[in-house]
Amino acid sequence: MLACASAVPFVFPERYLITQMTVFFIWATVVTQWNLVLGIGGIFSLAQMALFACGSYGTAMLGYYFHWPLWLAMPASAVLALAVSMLIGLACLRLKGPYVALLTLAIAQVIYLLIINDTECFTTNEGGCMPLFGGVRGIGKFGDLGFRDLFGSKFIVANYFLGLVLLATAFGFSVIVIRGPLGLAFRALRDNPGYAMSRGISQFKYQLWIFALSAFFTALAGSVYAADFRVVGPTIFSFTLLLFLLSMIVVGGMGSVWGPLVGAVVLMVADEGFKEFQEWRALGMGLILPLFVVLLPGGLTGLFNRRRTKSATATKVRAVPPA
Amino acid sequence: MATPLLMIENLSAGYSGLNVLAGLSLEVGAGEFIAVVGPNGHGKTTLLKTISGLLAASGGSITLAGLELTHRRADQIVAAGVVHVPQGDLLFPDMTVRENLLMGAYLPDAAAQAGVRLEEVFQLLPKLRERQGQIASTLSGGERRMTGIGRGLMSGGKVLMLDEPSLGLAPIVIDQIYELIDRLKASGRTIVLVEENAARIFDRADRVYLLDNGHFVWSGSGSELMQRPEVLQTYLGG
Amino acid sequence: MDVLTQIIVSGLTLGAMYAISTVGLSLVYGSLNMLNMAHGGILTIGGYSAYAVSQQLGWPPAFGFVAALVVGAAIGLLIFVATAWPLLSSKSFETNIFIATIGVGAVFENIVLKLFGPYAKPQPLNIAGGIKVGAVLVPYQNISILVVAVVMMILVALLLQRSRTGRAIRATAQNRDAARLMGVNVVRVYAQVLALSGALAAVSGVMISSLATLSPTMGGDPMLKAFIICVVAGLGNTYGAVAAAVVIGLIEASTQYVLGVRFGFALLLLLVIAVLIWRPSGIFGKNRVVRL
Repeated sequence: MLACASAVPFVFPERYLITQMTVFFIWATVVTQWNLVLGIGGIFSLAQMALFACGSYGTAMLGYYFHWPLWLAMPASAVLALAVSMLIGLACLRLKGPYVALLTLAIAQVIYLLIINDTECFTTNEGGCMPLFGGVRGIGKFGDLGFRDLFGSKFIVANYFLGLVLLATAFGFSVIVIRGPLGLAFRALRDNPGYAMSRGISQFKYQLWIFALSAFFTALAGSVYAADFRVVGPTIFSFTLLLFLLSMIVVGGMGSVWGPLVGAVVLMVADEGFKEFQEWRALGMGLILPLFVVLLPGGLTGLFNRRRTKSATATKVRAVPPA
Repeated sequence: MATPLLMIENLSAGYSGLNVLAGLSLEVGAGEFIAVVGPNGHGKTTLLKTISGLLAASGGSITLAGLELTHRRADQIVAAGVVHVPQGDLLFPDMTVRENLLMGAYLPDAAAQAGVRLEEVFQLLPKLRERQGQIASTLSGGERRMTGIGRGLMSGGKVLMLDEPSLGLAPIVIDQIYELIDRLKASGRTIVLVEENAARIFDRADRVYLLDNGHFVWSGSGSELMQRPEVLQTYLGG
Repeated sequence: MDVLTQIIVSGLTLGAMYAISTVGLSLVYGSLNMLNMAHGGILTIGGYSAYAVSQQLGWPPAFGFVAALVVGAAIGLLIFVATAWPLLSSKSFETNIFIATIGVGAVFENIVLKLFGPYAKPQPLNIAGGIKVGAVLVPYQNISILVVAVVMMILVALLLQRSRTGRAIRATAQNRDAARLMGVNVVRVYAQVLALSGALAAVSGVMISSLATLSPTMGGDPMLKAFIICVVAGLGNTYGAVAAAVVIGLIEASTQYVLGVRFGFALLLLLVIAVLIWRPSGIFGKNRVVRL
């Protein structure tokens, strides 16, 4: 699959397609990580975009105020996100499910409000007054990865591959978590918490780890977003975006390995299709969540798994000779 | 025995797709005292929960005086006359003893008799009259148990099911509880009792069913069981 | 002294509005274990229903109020039928209903957007003028909000404590299985609680928009605040939530005065986080031992 994806920009060199796919890589990365937190860790966190913002705002600000080269700023902002997520985790994770949801939502909302309500000019630039975090207009002109200089007009292809590498790494990480000992530990915690805990599996510790590590990759995605689009603003906190990403997880199948990717593909394609009907986009997105949760809780991967088990049992039945 | 009051045929039930009860059959006649004993975790509570509707049966049937109860809601089963006093009491923690008792008479038929029944319960359990204004979460173990049973009595009903009434109580208190159960039996109530410890039911139960791994492996009268120490040894550790 | 009066008036009014909205949320969580993320949407629809009835239909304001109540209750029932009921038997009910209601809330917001447009409108259910207390003008609107809120709280309390339905609701919230064994139809209780919560949310929407304005996104922040109040009081503790609502209303009024509106919410949040670290189940919450 990786090979196919690598071939795409050379076979279909349209600018639009390549940029859209780069965007897809970024969102798909975020969604694979959020899936780990929600579906595997069982943590009702709504602060994923706040962590994404750590990455994008972190990179932008390091570049703008301290003139750090982006290659340095990007991982640095991811590490920052690691620290921030640990802080959030320490505050929230000892609480029960719904408390976590509310707190993380509140934290994300407060960060958003602080950014857009800050009207004091920290510094000035050509656009005029600029608050510390960029205010409503955001932060721009913080440098870039040098792709334009290196590749000229083909820089979008370089962005594309950066995105692909990001997604591949993040996805690989999610597979390791889900199929590995951490995933097993979480399933034990979910199925039989008493026994799991008596065997030394500390829910808090494991949840903290999964929350922090997924924050790292989410922030990386945020920093790639900053590097690619070269402007970072509070639109990433939009509720519609949150809904869009959550729908990807629900449609794909929460907690599964391929779910987030499948969901991301389906929703981005659907979104393209709905470009004509912009008006109904938000309504449609709102409807997807309850529809899928009620009618198809396992998502599309759940549906696929059910078909597979059905055909497997069907084969078995046929193999038994008639009495 | 004439037509049994409560009839359970080939009942299976369980959790998350795994059956705990594997095709049980049981009959309870009016006024009889039936005991179900067996080691813990083998299905006694599951049996009572399935009869009272807290758990859905996966197969088999439950009938009360000819009325089909098998797939009905729990509240409908209580209305039909099967009262379940659950394991662990399940009192309403923020309500007083009196409020808990009155909650037992929630259904319209019982509510009409609430005043009379409350007085009867207080006669049977004077401790509850003393404590009627006390919040349930502050009661002692014995008081909780009495409140739970009293609440069940408020519901009236045709069959009274008690799940491990002696659980977690001191021997003196258990004596009191069983004294109460004797009086209930004497007044002609139909009782289904579940206990892990068979000691107290030998000379009380009309019939005993031994539940092991979801099956009834033995049934007979209480006195028969007393004469079969090997059965006791095998399943209940003497 | 005048500043104090000002703060108390604002604080109590805010507290009253929050209390109305929080009671419904708390009852729904207590009996169903459901975090209704569509609460903000119901709030918005309530506010706009009052607007539609009095502005567009031209009926007197009292009808607007009643319309909000009725529409709110109907929507609560709709949410029950469309999401809560089908999901009742699912394994991870809490998570599923949380996500489903997020979507439903967004749908409500969008319907309002489509029907009434994105621009803010004034809420016509407003009483102009006020009385003077010292040098401060206490608006009639604030007083009427307080009165209505107190009356509604009393009615809800009477319902819960004295009526058969109220007993059923309390029993279901305290121990669902025991309630079933008493003959309570818990599914019907769920429907009743969601309808009640919807009606209360709609009324709080009318109140909030009468002091601010009507806008399609007006539901988000009040909903978040209502949830925070519930969490601080201890999820499921309804009377504690009312007390907490008043306290938080007063705190918000004071911080707004001292720091300005902008940082009010942030400060509130920091306060809440501190409380939760000290008492993870909320101030009045009980850490019930869970038998595994």
